[in-house]
Amino acid sequence: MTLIRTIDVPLCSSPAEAWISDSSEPFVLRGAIRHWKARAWSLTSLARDFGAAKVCVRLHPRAAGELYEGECVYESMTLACFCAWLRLGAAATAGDAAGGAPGDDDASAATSLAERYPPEAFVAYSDYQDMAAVFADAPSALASIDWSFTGVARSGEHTTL
Amino acid sequence: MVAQICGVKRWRLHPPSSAGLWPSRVPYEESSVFADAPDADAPGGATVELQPGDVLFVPKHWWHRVSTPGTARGYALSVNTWLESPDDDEDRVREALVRAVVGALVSGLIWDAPSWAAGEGASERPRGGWINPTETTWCRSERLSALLLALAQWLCQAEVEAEVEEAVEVTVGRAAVLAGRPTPEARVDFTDELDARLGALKTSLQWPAVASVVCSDICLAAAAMTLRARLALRRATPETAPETAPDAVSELAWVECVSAPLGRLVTAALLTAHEGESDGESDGEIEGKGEGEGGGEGRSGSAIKSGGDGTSERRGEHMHAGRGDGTAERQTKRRRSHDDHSAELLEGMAVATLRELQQSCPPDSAAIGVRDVVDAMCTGRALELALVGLFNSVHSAPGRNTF
Repeated sequence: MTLIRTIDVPLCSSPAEAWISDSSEPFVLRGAIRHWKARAWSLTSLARDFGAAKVCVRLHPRAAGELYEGECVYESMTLACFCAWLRLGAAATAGDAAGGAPGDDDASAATSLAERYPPEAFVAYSDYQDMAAVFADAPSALASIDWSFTGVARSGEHTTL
Repeated sequence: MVAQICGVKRWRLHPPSSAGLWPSRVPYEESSVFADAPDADAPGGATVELQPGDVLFVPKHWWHRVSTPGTARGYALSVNTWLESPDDDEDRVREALVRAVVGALVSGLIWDAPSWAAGEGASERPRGGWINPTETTWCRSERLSALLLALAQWLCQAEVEAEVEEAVEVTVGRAAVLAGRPTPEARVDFTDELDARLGALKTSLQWPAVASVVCSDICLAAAAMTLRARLALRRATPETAPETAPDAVSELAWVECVSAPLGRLVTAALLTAHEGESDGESDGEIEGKGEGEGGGEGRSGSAIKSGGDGTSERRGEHMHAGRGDGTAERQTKRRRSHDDHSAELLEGMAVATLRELQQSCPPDSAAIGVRDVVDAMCTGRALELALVGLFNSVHSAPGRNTF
């Protein structure tokens, strides 16, 4: 198994744009987004700052292995609810459910969700969520993304979560 | 480009040409296309653990398998963006084509409760496994508009004859108007106009030019055939509302679709081009093959052999997704171009259709040979997989519902 070529961005004099256009192989730009505001995101901060955003989450039993999308269950929920569910899962091992303060509705929704899908037994995956739609009412979330290092001036509008 | 925000994700990547990696279902928008992952030591493969702050460049069409290492209860967050690629226009045509086929043949999203959630006694697997339940279906006008627009954007970049450009412009102008309508209800049925436009396109090309335009651009031909097939399908079920496709398409209906005059005409032309005989063909000969049984059968005889031989060898490699350890994100997907395989697909369609017609199977027979079709088509990628999906939806018996 080959290791992927890695470029330490601060030490890389050529712009990433050139790497992208020249490359037919994958590569890693190590630390390329260390300046992003999104780097400060956590379950706590996402629930606090953007908790009202709606996301679609795919769930299935961990023991079921890999499944097609159609073999999973989909639940629409607030980002705060999803974060709270994830924290419930983390709490099962770390014993730390504290931190963040989702609203009562989100907390009860997460509790209800966990009853149906126990975090220790289920996988939850929210993919291809169009950030422009998810964060339509939270422009600061979009501004936390900055793809300009690729040579394309782009924030979170053309990005998926 | 994938930017890792929180947590760690382990990526395994394999180039598009990796041996043993074949898509197992319709590459329909954002649905994953699963395959057995090759050995970790497979040539050309690569692996990396993305740390927070890292960005990974995934070249177009590379297979990838992503997992969240460490504790099963951990989480990871990443964001993606897609950069433009020179061959995007062509790929959009293929995607629009798949959407047109799938959307025409599936009413809504056939999606029952997953087997693991269906409780005791659930014997059938869910029928919707081949389309992502989060996908929205489009009405016919939307699908056709998208296909025509994609075709136009693609063709107008290439060097095409003036008549083709003009025809496409007119069509696209019409499609753009339709696409601009505020609601699906406000859009009109332009089936007849589309029919006429396709007919005009065919006339303006003249069949000798098929070799230089249509046959060299497999997608256009396939689009024409698909559109025609869809129209034939609609005519085959007159009680069906214009915007509503039947829940399940009967095999007979599908046979009628692909054996419709234009469909067979295009298929015959493609077979001719594929065998390298297009230069010597006159209009009349190809027309004759399209409309008469005898010529088409003889032509397809050789195609049966070449298509069947190649695909049967590969069938064993075409497998379901392997079992994993259930990490939060673990899949292999791919979107790639389809050049040679599109021709093989059309051969396979013709083979299956003509074989079925020759055998004169009763309408209710399952003997169109799902395995035959799959055998004939599993070397292909997009449209053929839509057909596999179609047959999956028709043959929903346990164990036959995914390939």
